[in-house]
Amino acid sequence: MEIFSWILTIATIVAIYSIMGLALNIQFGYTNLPNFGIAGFFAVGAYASAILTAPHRFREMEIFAGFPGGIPGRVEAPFIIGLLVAIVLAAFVAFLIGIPLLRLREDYLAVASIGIAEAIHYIALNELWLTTGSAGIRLIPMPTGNRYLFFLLVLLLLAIAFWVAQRFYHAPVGRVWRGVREDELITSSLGKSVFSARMWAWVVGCAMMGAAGSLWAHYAMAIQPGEFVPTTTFLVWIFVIVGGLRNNWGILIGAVLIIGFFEQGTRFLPDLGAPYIMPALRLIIIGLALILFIRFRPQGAIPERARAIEEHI
Amino acid sequence: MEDLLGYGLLTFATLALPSLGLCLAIKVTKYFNLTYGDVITAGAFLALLFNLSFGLNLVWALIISMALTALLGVILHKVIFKPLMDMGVGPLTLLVVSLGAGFIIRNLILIGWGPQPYQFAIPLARAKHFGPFFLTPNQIIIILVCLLVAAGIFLMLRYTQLGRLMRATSDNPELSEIRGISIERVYVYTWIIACALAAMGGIFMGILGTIKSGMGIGVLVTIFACLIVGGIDNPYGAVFGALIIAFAMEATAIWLSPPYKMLTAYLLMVIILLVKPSGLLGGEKIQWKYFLGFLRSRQS
Repeated sequence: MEIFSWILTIATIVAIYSIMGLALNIQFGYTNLPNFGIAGFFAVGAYASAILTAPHRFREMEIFAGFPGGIPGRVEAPFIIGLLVAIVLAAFVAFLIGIPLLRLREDYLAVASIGIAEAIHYIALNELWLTTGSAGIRLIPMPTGNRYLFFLLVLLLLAIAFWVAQRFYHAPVGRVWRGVREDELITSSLGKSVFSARMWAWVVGCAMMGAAGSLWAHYAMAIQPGEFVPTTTFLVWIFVIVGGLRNNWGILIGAVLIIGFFEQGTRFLPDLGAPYIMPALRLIIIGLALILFIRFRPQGAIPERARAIEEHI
Repeated sequence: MEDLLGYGLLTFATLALPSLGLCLAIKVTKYFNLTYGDVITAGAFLALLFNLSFGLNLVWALIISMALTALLGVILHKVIFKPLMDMGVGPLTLLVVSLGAGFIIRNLILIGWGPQPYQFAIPLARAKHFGPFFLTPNQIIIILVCLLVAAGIFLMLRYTQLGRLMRATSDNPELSEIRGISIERVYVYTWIIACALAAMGGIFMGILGTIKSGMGIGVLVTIFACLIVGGIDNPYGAVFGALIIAFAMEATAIWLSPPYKMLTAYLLMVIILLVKPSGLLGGEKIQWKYFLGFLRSRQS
């Protein structure tokens, strides 16, 4: 029974990460927008949901911990409100950030989005009245009460995200996105607005990351700023690249392989002397895997399917 | 006001050399290398190894660390980036790979030294008044060395054969190759200079503060902010950007709130990207149309 509960934990985490992988696929795989600020949008979603749904009891604890006046704005909203606000807020932040950033060349965008994620991390760390800083937010309710039902809920949202991602791939708007990816000049010469295509892909992807953040907050039941660091972003990137960029099935398989078997599956190995050594070794091997994959199999485990012209029409 | 001048100059001294090195690397190799932040950390930890573990004088530790870090940069280039560049992958793929390489270096350092912060074995000194500044002698030396090295790099770029080769390669790689320049050699020399500067910057950060395995990646984004503010293809711009970012950060720390130093740097970066994407000392004139460009693109 213990092993079953362990597999359930891993499966839930894999499903939450898969949603972020699908979101990155919409942004980078479809539209060529390298988002290195995944952790930032993940944090926006997680904090929005946590602040809205954490119980009132929490405020008294914070007064005790030395925050006079507690944390304003606790509303004890139900989970569904938290999730919706997380999605909308992540999309809104993405929209605001997108106005300056999406005009940039891809590599500038990558660097600038790292800065944005770090900025969000600093805000979460320092705006004590809103996020309680490094203490984090605890006692976030798990909406279904038990972990089996919550796993089913996460699976449902993953299925929706997968459907959305597949739908966008085949829809006309997805075709414009892929056109932007391949050649911006030709796409704009066909009368499509490159900027608006990039903005839509960016906002849709970031909204999905916000949803993943909300699920994470409710699953872990406690969040703190230290979780939303570049390592999270890096993990999503690595499994998207290993699994097969631009192919949604490949991303699911990459998430199972990298997050499931490697990142979470090795969690209970003995910790070679100090608690930080195993995670560090794991990241070293994941970094090596990334370099080797890009060197020897750049299209990933499952590449994008080449489609005949008739299928497009 | 005096505080601002002193601290601003100190922050400038830690940011200027790595900015200059990364600017040269980006200018010549034409991609953003995110391993650079962890090369800074590696430089600081190599100096720590010789200074603390082997008991060497910090000046010797600095020189040895600069040499070893330059070697590390060349190895990284030859083993990881050169084969990929030969395959003809784009700058974005190289950026992703450099992120992976950075993770490898950072976690190797984490395994070697653990997560706790370290300090160099240097004697404590009392701050004195030097004209308008209130600084310790070490800090004065750091500022002077930083200015001298930056000036030396500028002279090297302008007047030596290597500087001409680097400028030619960055302007037009194909033409340079046709004219008989070995681009690969220019890349190697660029990485040697860039990584030696990174080590120096990392050691300065260590002298002024502490050394941790995660210090590089945090500072890397600030360095990119310096480059974008100053103009990413202009070495003078890199140093100028470092000056602006350093003073903006310290002004925030003094008059607003110390944790928001970084936010000021990112905010400046975003503003510059909006108003003049090529940076203050970069290519074109200021393009005010970017301000309302978004609204216009919605209408069209």
